[in-house]
Amino acid sequence: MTRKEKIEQEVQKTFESFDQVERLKSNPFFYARLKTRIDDLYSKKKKIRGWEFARRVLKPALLLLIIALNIFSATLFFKYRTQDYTNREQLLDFWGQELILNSNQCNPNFLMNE
Amino acid sequence: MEKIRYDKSGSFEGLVKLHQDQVLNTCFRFVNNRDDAEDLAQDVFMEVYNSIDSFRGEAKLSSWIYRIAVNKSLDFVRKKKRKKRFAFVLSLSGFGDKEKELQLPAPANPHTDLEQKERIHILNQAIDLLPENQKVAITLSKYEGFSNKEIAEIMGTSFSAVDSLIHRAKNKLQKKLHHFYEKHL
Repeated sequence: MTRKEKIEQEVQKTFESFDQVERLKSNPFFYARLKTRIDDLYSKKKKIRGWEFARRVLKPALLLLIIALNIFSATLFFKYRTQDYTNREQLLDFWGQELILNSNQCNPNFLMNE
Repeated sequence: MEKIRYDKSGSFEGLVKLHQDQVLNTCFRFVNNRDDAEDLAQDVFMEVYNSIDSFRGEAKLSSWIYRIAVNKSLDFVRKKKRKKRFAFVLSLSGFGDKEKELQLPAPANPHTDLEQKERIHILNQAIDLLPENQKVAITLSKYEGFSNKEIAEIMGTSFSAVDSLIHRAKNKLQKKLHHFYEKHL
């Protein structure tokens, strides 16, 4: 057999190896392992969904609540401040009348000091 | 339409059991490592489970599953090659890229079984050197026994394109093997 023929034969034999490869059998626990992975993934997804809910819904809701509370407290603050101011004027008026602090009345203490 | 429901009622288990061996073998033909192939096969079925709703039934369900298997395997091989190339560049920085050649697997052994294993090893190496689409076509055809029509569905191409890919792959393999045996015989 010449060298060329030998090479041809080897190439042919190597080509025939296509039919002689052993086929693998999958692990008997293949599906069990897969199921565990799927279950893990879905429990993680549930957790992620919880966080997603917190991120997408609770966060803006909390922000809105804080803004609403701020507006509400600001409104109250300004409302009572004006009320307070009118009350103070009323109070001054009241005490002015009570103590009869009119311009044509003399203050005895003032006179004594003088 | 050949479609399983997403209700985890047992039809998914049936589907897995029906295709797990062939998916495992398909992955193995590309990665040449049992553990990696098993992990990939798991990933394939995870993806099937997650995206079964997006399966539109244009191709057969089995073709869709094998397409996922092929894509995942090719991604894995590409990543591995990238890592190897990076390691090579790191270790031999400054040297040019060596021409890829088939390597002699192990010292020749008189035992026929071992000879056969060597031949399979040489063949696998030669297939690895083929362009990606030729590699996919010949692997699915010769190792996994898919028909050209099925391969066309899996690869998302035409029947004639698959025919041509397999023909070119065979020619290239023949040349590479010739070259190898000329050197080593």
